[in-house]
Amino acid sequence: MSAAGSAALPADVAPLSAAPALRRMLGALCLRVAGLLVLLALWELAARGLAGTIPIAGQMGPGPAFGSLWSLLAGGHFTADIIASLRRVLLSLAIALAAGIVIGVAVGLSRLADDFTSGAFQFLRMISPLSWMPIAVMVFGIGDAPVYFLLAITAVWPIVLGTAAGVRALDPQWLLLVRSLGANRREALRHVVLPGILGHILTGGRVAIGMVWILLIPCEMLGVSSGLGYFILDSRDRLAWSELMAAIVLIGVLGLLLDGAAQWLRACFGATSNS
Amino acid sequence: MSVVTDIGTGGATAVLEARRLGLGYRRRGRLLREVLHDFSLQLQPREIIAILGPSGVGKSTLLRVLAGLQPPLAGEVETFGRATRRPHPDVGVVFQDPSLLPWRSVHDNVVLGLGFASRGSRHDAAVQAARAHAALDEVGLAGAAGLLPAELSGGMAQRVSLARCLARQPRILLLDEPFAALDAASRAGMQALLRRVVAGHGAAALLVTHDIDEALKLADRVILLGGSPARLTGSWKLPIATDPAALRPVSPALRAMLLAALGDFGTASADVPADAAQAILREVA
Repeated sequence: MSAAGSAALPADVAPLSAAPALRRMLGALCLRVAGLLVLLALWELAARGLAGTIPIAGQMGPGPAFGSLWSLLAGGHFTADIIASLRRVLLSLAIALAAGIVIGVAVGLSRLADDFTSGAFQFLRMISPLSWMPIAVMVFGIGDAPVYFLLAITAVWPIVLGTAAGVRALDPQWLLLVRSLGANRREALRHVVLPGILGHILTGGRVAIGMVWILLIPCEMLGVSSGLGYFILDSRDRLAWSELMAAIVLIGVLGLLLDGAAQWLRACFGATSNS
Repeated sequence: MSVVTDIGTGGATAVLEARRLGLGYRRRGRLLREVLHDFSLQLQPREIIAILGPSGVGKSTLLRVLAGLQPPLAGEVETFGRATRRPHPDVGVVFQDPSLLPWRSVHDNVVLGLGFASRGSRHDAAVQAARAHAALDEVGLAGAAGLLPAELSGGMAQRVSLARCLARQPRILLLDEPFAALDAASRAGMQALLRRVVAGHGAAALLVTHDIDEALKLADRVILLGGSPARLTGSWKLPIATDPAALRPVSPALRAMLLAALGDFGTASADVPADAAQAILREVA
């Protein structure tokens, strides 16, 4: 049997043909770059077209914007703002993960908890977090605290929903199996439930990162004196239009990188958890 | 009219004993439907029992109850002379679904059952790895240790599931239609493998199946369930095997009788006429 088993192995494993997949990936990459180039061209056209009626539009084209972006980055003028913004995103994401996973597991495990909370959660989820801004400032004061609150309350819903969906998608057979192997509740949680829902948590986390990054900019326009949102208002006040456009470009690029990181994490740790 | 020709031989040595089990579905404490009534069984050391029955008589439930994974409605289960309240560390279960954790490699799936606190003497990583390797070697998959479950065929996955069970060196194996989802060729291979490893480990095994040939090839004793709610309608002890590690030859007469009793693939079941059963038992004994 041993020999037969080893001999059967190559036939049983599906052969991977790499060449067509690679070609498709390269093609997709080329198209993606082409799309970005078209976007740049449209931007340039718009800046030129508007320059006739609005003179400052001339400073807002891709040329001046990338020039400012380069000099600001090289001069280290963006460093503090980038760090401030990323710190806010990551910290509020951590808060949202800590709360969201606990709530999500409870909601996913218990029909009762699900029914009890679903109405309230759907209601809260539909309220733009920015509506809480005055209340957040009143409760948490001026500074970083209300920003953390607003971002965390934004990020918590996709994580709760993702975690709950993950728990519901767990194969009950896995739990029966680890029990038959002698696992207690804690061991079952650690070896089956958590790894089994990791993919869903990371999917929820990726959605959360996107939402938090979008909300971060308006949040940073009130009551704080650092971050990329603050930089936008500040450059407007200084009439530094090319720097304003540079900040917008940077926000887009950092957002792409954050999403890419979230996607990468999911591919590394979550991809096999529910196949 | 039921024929109960044999229900084990003396209680003192049985490794697993079920006494007057009742199984069924309950909701809010009320009995909705009883599927198995007044079922008793004794599994002797090194014995392989096959429980045959049509679908829907609670064979899988029975196995989960015997494994200590759920309590019975009535009656009791004893494992090695002690009341079964939870899964026993010396009992291994193989389910119809291989239930491999998809994020763990084959090796890590086999190791899974070796590290839990309830096993008492927890082995260190090296011992666990050695045991997992030996078990995978036993089922002919030593070369697949690094693969992920998604890369396995159905037959390979079920062999990994058997290896995971064997790595714990169980003294009793409980198998719930473990080969039902496999094609005929892999099923035959798995049956031979099972008979060999059970004999090699000196273990006892209880196999739940609806496949008559499988029961007759593997088991030392065949138990038939039938009726609604199901009860034990027959029990046949087959002659002592000349080679405990090899599959048994199938007696055509016993096969024909079980086929008749199980009905057309087990939708209905009939009691076995006593005289027919006696005649066949004389023939096989």
